[in-house]
Amino acid sequence: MRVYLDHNAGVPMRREVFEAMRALLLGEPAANASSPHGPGQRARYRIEQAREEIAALIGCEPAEIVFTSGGTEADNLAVLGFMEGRAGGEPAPHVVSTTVEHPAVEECLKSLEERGVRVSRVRVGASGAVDAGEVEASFLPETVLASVMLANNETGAIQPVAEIARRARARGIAVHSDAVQAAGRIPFDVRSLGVDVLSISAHKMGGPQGIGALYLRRGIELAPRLLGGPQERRRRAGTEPAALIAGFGEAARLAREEMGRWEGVTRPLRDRFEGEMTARFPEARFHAAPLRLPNTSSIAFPGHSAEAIVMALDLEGIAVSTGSACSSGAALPSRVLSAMGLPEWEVRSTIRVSFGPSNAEHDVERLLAALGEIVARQSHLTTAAGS
Amino acid sequence: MVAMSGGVDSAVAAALLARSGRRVVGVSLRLHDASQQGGAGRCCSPEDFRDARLVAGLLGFPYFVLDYEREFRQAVLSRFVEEYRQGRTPSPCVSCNTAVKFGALLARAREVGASKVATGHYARIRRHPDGRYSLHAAADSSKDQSYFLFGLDQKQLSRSEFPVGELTKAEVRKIARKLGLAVADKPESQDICFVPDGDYRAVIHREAGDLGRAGTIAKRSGEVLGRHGGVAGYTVGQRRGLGVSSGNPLYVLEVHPASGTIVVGSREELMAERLFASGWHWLPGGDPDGPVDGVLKIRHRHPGAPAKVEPLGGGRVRAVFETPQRAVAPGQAAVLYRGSEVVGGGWIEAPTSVMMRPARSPERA
Repeated sequence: MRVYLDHNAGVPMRREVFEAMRALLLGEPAANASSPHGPGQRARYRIEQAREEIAALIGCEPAEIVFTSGGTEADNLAVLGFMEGRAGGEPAPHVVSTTVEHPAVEECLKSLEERGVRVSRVRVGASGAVDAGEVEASFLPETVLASVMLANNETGAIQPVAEIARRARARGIAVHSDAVQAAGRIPFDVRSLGVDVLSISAHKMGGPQGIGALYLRRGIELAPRLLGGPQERRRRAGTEPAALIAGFGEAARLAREEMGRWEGVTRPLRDRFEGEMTARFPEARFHAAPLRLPNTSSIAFPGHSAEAIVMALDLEGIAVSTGSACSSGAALPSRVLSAMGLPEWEVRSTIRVSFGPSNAEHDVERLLAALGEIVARQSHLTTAAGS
Repeated sequence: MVAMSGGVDSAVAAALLARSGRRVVGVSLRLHDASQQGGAGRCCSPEDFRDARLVAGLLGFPYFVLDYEREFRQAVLSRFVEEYRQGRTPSPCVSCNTAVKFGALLARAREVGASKVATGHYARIRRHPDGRYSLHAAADSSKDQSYFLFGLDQKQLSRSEFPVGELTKAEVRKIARKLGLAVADKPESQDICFVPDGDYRAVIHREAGDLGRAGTIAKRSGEVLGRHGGVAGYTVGQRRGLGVSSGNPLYVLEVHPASGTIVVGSREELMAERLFASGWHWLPGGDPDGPVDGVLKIRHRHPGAPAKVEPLGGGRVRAVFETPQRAVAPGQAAVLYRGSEVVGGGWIEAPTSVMMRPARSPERA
């Protein structure tokens, strides 16, 4: 039996999600939701039902949800769409973000900079969390947008988005948050957060890959990134993938109804893992922000190569991950961990374990046993090579 | 652990192991940034990694890309550049095998709990009843790559596997097609993987900023025929691209990095009766008691020539050919075979000791 402990990369699809999609893929005619005939209206109905579920999950109105092809497109639409038409003006508009954003946001920021937008990236502390006061201190009269992720994919650090949004709003600055890792896992609603735009993705909560959504507060204007038909109130052209959207809706429904489950299942497993690791490997170092996703553990094994540990665990049938990967697939030192000020050796010795609601106690046992053997073997080899 | 280049040989090597029920982890080594060179289709390009990944996906084993750029630069690329700038002709694939694939990667394999490293090399390893290992030429002699593997010691041999060593290239392609591997008909890579389009001088210039000392192209008699912009890239035995003309075809005979002189001459002058090699490695381990007779290959495509190789101590040997050989290029590997077995190898030295004497000195050298 394989042990899957990489839920921050993707969550296995729930059976109910599959059934909801299957009904549209095989059961009903594959109709275009824009068609006025019966089958088309049926597809439209499924899409609108799903939109309601997703709106209910994050506490907004259905009309404030724009479907996208995933979290990345949602981030692109949010950051680039918001800034479109604002770039190139005098004085140059200014955007505030952080040094630990997902590439889907960071690459948009770079693209904006090439077009004359000024960007400030606020540094995070050693635990991976940003300070709301420091974000506020970087606001300028020209600042029009602040983009701060809700929870970090590598460390699980939860950022003080509500506090940042409160301070931004007082100055008329719009706030976007990439909530891909948080949505469906920890309870939040967009009204309490006070954000204007927020990105989420289905496959991080047990839905299908290839579908995500953007919350767009009523009254916020975005330039579309895709031009074409009038779908999604002209914010995102293209025929809606009804089956993917239905799967997303089902995943959102389950996430909302079982909101306590992520926390209830994964926190005890994660805490048990970290407790045992501390006892068995006193030299292990955790990158734990005060507020953290309950399922995520970022742990460094000084003197060991994270890449070797991940490969060895894979051979034992246990899937965990290292930092981000580059285009060629080679593991490069994690940008997020480097941004936290960790030395390169520590970055290169850090693995990420991310639990999910389907994990159980015996998965932790397997992981602990395998890690014990692997770390001992590698220590032995290192000592042998050094002597 | 199977090192996969993205080509058909390593793909089939991985497939054969996976299908025989062995637990396999596929890896590709990122040795240099091919994306910046536009050198697609050799190795280390995103296309090659994708090809290797597809094989892993088809057969269902894990696959990782490992970054060995630093090790490669230290052990292979820097040496390649410096050797050429010193007027020698390096064999980078030998250093890469010894230091990277069966060095750093083998160490990594042990760390992750993999007992062996397998590659798509055409060569064979035999285990003898006494526990000793020997390296042999491949069954398909036209594809044999044992020349590039002479640097492996007993420990490395015991932890290496070459699953395609018993097969011909045609058989390998046939297996690949049968398994539905997309790389079955991928063209062969010819050049050195990190040298796009075979342009050595461009790589040397990029890395070192120059091409070594510039100077004259002259005959042994001292007659100057022309000038050149740097010794790097000139190889003993080279005929084309000299930019000088004479009645008869001219070949590079010697490259002198200190003075920048490139000595050229006739085909007859290119013949050598002997060579000295250093850094010599006897695969069975330890120097033999006396001279060893065998067949010596002085470059990858050399058919091999009968020779007597005598250990001189300190990792040096003297090899005397039965009949003189053309273009003995300093820096290239000299590899000694007895039958199919690789018994030793080392690096051909610049013929300084011979140069001091009149050409064709009799007796001892």
